[in-house]
Amino acid sequence: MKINKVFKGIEKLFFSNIDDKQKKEELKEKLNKKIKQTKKEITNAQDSEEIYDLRAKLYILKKLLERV
Amino acid sequence: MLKRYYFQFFLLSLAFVVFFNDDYKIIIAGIAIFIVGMVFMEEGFKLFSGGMLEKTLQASTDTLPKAMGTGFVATAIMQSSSLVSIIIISFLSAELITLSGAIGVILGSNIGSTTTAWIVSSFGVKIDIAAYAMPMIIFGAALKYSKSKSYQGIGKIVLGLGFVFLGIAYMKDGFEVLQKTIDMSKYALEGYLGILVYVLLGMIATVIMQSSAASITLIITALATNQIIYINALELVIGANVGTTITAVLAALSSNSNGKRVALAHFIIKVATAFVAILFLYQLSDFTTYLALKIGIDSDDYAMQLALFHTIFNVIGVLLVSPFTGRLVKYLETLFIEVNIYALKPLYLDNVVINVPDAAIESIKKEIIHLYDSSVEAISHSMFLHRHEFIKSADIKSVVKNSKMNMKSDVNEFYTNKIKSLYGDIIHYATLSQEEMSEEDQNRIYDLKLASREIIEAVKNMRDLQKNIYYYSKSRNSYIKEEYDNLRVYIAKTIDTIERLKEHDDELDVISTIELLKESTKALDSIKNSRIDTLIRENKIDSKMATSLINDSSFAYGVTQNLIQAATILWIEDMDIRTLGVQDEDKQGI
Repeated sequence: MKINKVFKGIEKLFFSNIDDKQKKEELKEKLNKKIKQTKKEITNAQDSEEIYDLRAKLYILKKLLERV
Repeated sequence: MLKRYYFQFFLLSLAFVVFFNDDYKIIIAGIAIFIVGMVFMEEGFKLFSGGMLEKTLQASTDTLPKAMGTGFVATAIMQSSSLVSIIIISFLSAELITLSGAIGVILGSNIGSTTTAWIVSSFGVKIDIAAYAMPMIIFGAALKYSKSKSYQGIGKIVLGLGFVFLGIAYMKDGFEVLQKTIDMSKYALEGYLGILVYVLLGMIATVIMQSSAASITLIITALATNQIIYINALELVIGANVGTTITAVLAALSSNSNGKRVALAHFIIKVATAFVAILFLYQLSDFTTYLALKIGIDSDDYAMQLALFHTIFNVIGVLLVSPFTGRLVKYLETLFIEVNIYALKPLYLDNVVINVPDAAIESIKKEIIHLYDSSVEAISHSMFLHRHEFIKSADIKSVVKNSKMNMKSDVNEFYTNKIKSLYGDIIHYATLSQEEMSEEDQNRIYDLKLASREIIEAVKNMRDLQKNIYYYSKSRNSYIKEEYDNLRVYIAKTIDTIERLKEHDDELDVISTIELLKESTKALDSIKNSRIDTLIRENKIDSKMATSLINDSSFAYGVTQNLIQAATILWIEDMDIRTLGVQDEDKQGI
């Protein structure tokens, strides 16, 4: 058990930056996909209330993308 | 079915006795006054918790010898072991001392009570504590209305003590008739049957007279007038020593579990002492005569000899019981455990999986969702709303506006009786499960603990809000009424949105819904809310309403944020997505 902890510590020390970057890229990709999908939904939507809600969602998704 | 009518039956029987027998009426009134006194004393001592009194009591009862010394001195000064045990029970009920400390005081008090017999045998008088009842009640009532908390506390204690004395006096008066019927010579017997009869008689006499000293005086008189023989007098003294515990038992009726435990300890110690004294009665009698001669007590001075016997057997009893105090405390702690039948029981915390990280995390999460659902139900009811009415409703505003304010719900009671113990169970289980977990899993448990704390905080915030929601719903001022309706709408919308986000499969949808919800609830932040400013400026609400509204908007904002935080932890598994939402809070904080 202790050896495992040592290995994990070494892994964190040397590879965590790479892992973090990879994770961030994946998250960005997911958010971009979601933004595209929401935009599509806005163009397809007919109800004004629905459009308003989707636009608000789009605004939040863009804000989240900025935070990544 | 029958249980439901126990209290009614009790009241009816009480009414029957009170209306048809004057003697019993006085005795029962005495008991009632006595119990009221106990309640006042307990309330008074509670006002001193955390202060000097607590520190002094803790310091004087933290070890067995110190506690015994305190008990001895207090009883010798007050001249009543019953009174010391009553005060100790109220100390315990106010959680000012520990159970072991209290038992130590009781042991010391047993020896201290022997000083009464010496005073009675030497001077033939005893201070009548009941004479102090009236002045105590007068001064206690006056002090109770003082502005100072310390004076209020002293007032309540003095008032309580006054009622206790008055109660005892009433009980004595009521029993006076019964006392006259006691003729001890009737029972003059020898052998073990005689021992038991006289021990029982001594007990009854003390219960009737509410004073072991008074019983001893009666015994001395009976002995001096040759109504009984010397050995029977000793047996009566043993009985009187047990009979004195009835006052503590009465006091324990209105106390908490610890109060009941110490009353039982008092009874056990007295009975154990009596048992030993009965077993070695003749040897103790010879030893008393021998010691009496050695210290210069005349062989015909029965009063002094009885006092000596009383001291000897009480000291022996204390010496016998004190080594087992620790065990006695452990045993007593298994008794009178208060079970909260209304408390929510954990549904998912399975001890079998506590050491299996994934299963333990899942069970904790499910339990917190259980806590969340129950809390949200209580929050909704405290706003006079039913969840099925507003969840997934297209028009929450109308639901709130048309809601009937007749629902009986107390969120404070719900917190104390129902969820506090469930929250405790979750934290306990989560902490135990963390022991063998990886760092990542430990962090998840930590987050889940935070979620449960947020839920509890939401309920606590609602506690402060509930009263004014009801109060202003009856207001003639339509503006303030509308504002409070608005607060309810925001909380209901938060609950509704969280309920809807549970259905999302994609966690990005969940986080965006949560972020939108956060944006919309910002309107509740009273400092930034210009609506209240406008209402004040235009004189639509008065200053009292304005301050209530500002405070309550803040509580409502607190409720929404607590629920949102809990939902983020519970329904977003991905740590990276979850922290996207937290970053916003950090930025605001900066």
